[in-house]
Order: sequence, then C-alpha cells, then structure tokens
Amino acid sequence: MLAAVLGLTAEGTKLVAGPSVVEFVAPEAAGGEGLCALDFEVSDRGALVELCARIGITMPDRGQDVVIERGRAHGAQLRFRHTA
Amino acid sequence: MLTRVHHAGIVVRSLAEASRFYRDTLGLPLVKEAEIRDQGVRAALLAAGASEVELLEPLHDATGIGRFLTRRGEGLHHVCFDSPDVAAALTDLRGRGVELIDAAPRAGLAGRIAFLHPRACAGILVELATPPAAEHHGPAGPYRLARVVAGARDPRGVSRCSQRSSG
Repeated sequence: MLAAVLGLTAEGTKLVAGPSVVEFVAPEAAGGEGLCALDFEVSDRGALVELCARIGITMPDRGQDVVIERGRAHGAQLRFRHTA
Repeated sequence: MLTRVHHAGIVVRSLAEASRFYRDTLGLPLVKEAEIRDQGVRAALLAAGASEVELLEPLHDATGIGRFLTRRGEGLHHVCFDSPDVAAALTDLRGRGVELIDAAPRAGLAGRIAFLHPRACAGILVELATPPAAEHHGPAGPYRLARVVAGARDPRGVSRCSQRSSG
C-alpha cells in the first residue's frame, strides 16, 4: 500500500506526513486524476483579508475558503483557510 | 522514515511570471532559486510554513518538465517528502520491489533528491529529498501548506493499487 511504500501513516484517504497530509479524492471533486490542489492554513485573518485585496476578490464569510482557480495560479488550485 | 511534505512542485511556463504571482502577490518568501542545467530547469523554492512550493520552468522542451508542459500545460507536477537519508531510502524501496525513476540520489534544488515511479505511487510522481545539513530556513511566510490534494478513481483503494505495483 502507498502508506507502506512511503512509510507514512494512512488515515482513510489521507497520508499523514508530519504537519501536512496528501489526500486522495474522487476525480469529480478534483477536476481530474493526479495532483490538483494545495490547501493552506492561515492563522492571521488579516493576512487573508490582505490576500483577497491583492488578488481582487471578495473576502468570503467566516468558515469559507478563499479559492484561487487554476487559471490564475499557474495550473494549481489554491485554497486558503483561516484557522483560529 | 519520511518526516514531512518538503514541497509541492508546479511546472510553469515562466519562472519570472509565476514568481510574481506566488512571491509578490501571494507573499510566499523566496527560499532559493537556481538553474539546474543537468535537469534542464530553472527552479525556485518558496516557503509555506514547514513546507515549500517549488516552481519549475523548463529550459528546453526535451526534458521531463518540458514534455509535461507541452502535454499538459502548467500545473502540479510532483510532491516531495523529506527523508533524512535518500540513499538509504532508495536501497530500502528497491529491496521491497518499488519501481524507481532514479537508481541513485542526484543534486536538486531541495538537496539530494530521487524520484519514485508514479506506477508505484497511485499515479502521482513522488520525490524524496534530503536537504543540506546546514540549510537555514528564513521566514515561514503567512501560510502553512496543510494538504496536497490528488484525484484518484478509487481514493480508498489507492493503497491497494500501489501494493500491487510495488510487488
């Protein structure tokens, strides 16, 4: 199994590698097979507000991710989540 | 023993343009940038918490990165895990029948690196890296890379498929 090949812990569809995980999702959710997105966590909500201003999007409501689509981010979907 | 996601690699047409977005617009601090001629790439690593984002621009079309760009366009290319000893990891993986791309470690932007074959890794290209011992990390930046997401036809069965590949 992939977790065993890499010596990582598997938690359902996730491989845990220290503070980060690699998660496998259905192609419909990922927009295809293979690597598709990077999720970032932001502890400073102000940084997220600044990011939205710099990229010209409306800051989403609390609990919702800031999403930058592939076309804007050189082929990778980027998602930013505020963590208190 | 892999300790963390070292970086996620993104193939781009222009490192200068992509850097403007990832470094200047998003605010990811530049860790290092270099041209690696034997791999035919110009690359940059940018900090995202304990991990990094690697941007890769092919120097010409006849490289793996160049072919990827021609065939698929810009996008996520590989995920790299930090290994304390890539050479020992390769020996262990080879002994377990895991299909490798690199038989021995080589020099990369992240340190001593080696790639495993996607057939052994659920269709994703996996890199292992041992960073230089004296490497000093600057600011981690405002964002922490928490999750790398990959699409797979059977997300829960991915491990079974890899077990077959690894023999």
